[in-house]
Amino acid sequence: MLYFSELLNKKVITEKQQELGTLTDVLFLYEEEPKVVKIVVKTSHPSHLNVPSLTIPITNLVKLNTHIIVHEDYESLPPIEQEMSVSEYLLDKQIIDLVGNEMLRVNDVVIQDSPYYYISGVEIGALGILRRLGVEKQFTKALQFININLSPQLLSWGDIQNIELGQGVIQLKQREEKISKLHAEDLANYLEKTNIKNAAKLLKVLDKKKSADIIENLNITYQDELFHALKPDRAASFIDVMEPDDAVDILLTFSQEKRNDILELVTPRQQKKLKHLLGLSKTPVGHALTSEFVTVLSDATVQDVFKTLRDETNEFSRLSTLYVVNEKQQLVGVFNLHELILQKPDTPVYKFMIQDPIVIHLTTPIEIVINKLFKYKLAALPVLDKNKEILGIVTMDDMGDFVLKKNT
Amino acid sequence: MKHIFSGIKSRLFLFLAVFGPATITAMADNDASGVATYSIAGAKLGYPILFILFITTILLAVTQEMGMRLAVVTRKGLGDLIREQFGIKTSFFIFLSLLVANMGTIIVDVAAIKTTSSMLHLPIIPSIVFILALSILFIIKGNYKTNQNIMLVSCLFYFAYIFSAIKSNPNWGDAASNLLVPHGVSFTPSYWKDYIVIGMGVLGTTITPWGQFFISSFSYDKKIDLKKLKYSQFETYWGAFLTNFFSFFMVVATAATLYFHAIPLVSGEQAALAIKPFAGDLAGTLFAVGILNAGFMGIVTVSLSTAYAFSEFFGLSGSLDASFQKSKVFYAIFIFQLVVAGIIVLFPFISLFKLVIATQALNAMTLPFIFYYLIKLTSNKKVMGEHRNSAFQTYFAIGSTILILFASIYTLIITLFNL
Repeated sequence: MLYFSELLNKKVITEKQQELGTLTDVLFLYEEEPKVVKIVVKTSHPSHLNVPSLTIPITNLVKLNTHIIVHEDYESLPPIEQEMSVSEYLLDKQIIDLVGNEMLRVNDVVIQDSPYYYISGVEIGALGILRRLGVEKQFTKALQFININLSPQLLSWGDIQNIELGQGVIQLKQREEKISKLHAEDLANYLEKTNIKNAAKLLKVLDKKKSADIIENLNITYQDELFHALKPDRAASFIDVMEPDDAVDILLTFSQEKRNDILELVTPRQQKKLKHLLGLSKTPVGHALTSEFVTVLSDATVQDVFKTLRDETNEFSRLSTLYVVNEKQQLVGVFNLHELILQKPDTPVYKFMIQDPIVIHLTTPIEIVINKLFKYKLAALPVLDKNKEILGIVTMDDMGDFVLKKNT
Repeated sequence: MKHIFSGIKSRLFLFLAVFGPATITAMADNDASGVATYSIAGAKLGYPILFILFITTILLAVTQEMGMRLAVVTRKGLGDLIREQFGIKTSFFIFLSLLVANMGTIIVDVAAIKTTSSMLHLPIIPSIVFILALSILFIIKGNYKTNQNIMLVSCLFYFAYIFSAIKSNPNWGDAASNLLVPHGVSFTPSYWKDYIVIGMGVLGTTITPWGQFFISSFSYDKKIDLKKLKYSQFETYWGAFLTNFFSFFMVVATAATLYFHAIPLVSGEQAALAIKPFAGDLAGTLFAVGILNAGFMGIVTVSLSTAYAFSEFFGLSGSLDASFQKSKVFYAIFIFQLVVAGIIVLFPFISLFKLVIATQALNAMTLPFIFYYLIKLTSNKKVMGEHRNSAFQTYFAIGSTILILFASIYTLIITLFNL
């Protein structure tokens, strides 16, 4: 994750260290998933290159650290009509927060760098202003003295609407249609902020596969509420298209009676799979739970994390993954030690953590836990309660024991 | 016949619907420090300073109209537009100078309340605390409509000055003719020097940086329809006329008494006391009550304009119609300024006189910058469309800005080096 302000005025050089200029703008496509397409570079020696500015496709970007490095034989293509400029249409402009239903100002723009560059949202809080004025670090340090911790206030792309663009510069599609093309995770986030009734209504207009994706991305409390709001036939139609592992996870949070009601309505093929999984070992995950895990707050810096590791993990037999929680102790992200070591000491955790961790629940059958560990190649899985708080973790080592015992 | 009447009636109704922002801004221009300046101007220079007042009225009308038009056409405040068009650093520095200059103005207003209440034999600390608390309550509890109405009623207090002026038996003919051509006194070089410095003060207290922000934010908050732009324009001109209509009487009241009898005036507030022997006790008391009211108006509008500007520049929701909880920062800024001003005035650890000078200097220096952005925005076709400035408006405004810039530099040098 990057901020636009961090890219602004960065030096742009070629692989052979030829200086081209500084980055002044970023162009993106105004659509459901706003991909970054080009960077605008103000040339530092216009006479050298014979142009005042270059518009270099993002595909020519090689690396992005202290400098922005582009291919030796970079191209410069003129911007086309559909490409919008961040500084002209987003930065410092007013947006409508669709969820909170209010007008806000964009203080900074959040750009995701993987799997490709796209704009994931905007920063509307005071931290954004401080960063733009170049005093973010000094200020946050000073505020920490009086025990005030500023955290970034981000709004995701799905939650906002640009006023200028909404006013007719570019015609927006119908809201539902627009929503149906968002990332499932973003949509889930969006849904979690509206009420169940709205959510159920929205899910109705989306196709089943998409709905199922979104439901899988909802937190368990919300899933629970949502499924209770749905009639069994509708619930069944979602269960139908979900991954069996995840479907079982959800089904297990229901009472035996309701679970059977839903199962009756599921297509025979899926029903067979689900019944098989449900009939597997009744060994609850609780037996395999360990409390050897570390949580850190999302705005803690890398330095803070190292300190936590030194202070708290002396007795640990093994540690590979760290879990990130918010102030309510709810799991919001995850990262491993390797990812940690690569960061600078003062980088906050939320900038590099993975935001959608794979999780399990106390009701998850051990077989499914093992499936997930293999499928996602993880060393451990966090077990969450209904409030999204971590109860403990289940490690690959412990599951190995289980598999061995079962086979002998 | 009936037709014509109903036409007039509906037009009057339309005017009343947009009535408010410009009148309030213009009247608040006559805040306590304004009253003090006009009093000194009248007492020291007599009727000829009315000529400056006349020019100021036109300047005020033109600039206020631009600010109002900008808000009605774009549906945004001046702060919003500066942030969007010129970026965050420009916004930050403009806001900072606005904050400091406004802080100064508020302190001067609170100080005027302090001196006036002691002249009226009111207990000083309770009066200040009362007026500050009243202002805070007024803004937090009220909504746009009641606040506007209270402010408009408060404007009625300015009639006190008309009464004071009449009681001072002025030569109305001399006063009126001096509006167009200064005459009737001996124009010595030292008189001219005072004339420019005080004239600058008159200009500076009437056309202010906060006034530019306030008119645009208040028009925006009133949600005036673009179709009613003409009526709003008329209201701005009317407001500019009204403010200086009352200023006229302030100047006349002191010119007819204190200048005529060559009574020196150390501070503006003392005018209330000084005119008593010539205009009678009632006129003096009314003058003082007028200052108290002007102080209240000044405190509310100036601190409100800082809060408005802050929310526009930095995107935190701010409106008189928003609940207290929702616009916490908006109200926090408003209250912060009042509390700081109250503390500084009650425990004067800074020389108030130096503060007044510094405030005026800062106001004068900020103004050309704000005009620069205002003119740039209102002349921009992309922003204003068909409602952008005419060539005459642009050149007139640029000319005035340059004039103000030079006059303020001159005043600053004179004041700083005691020439």
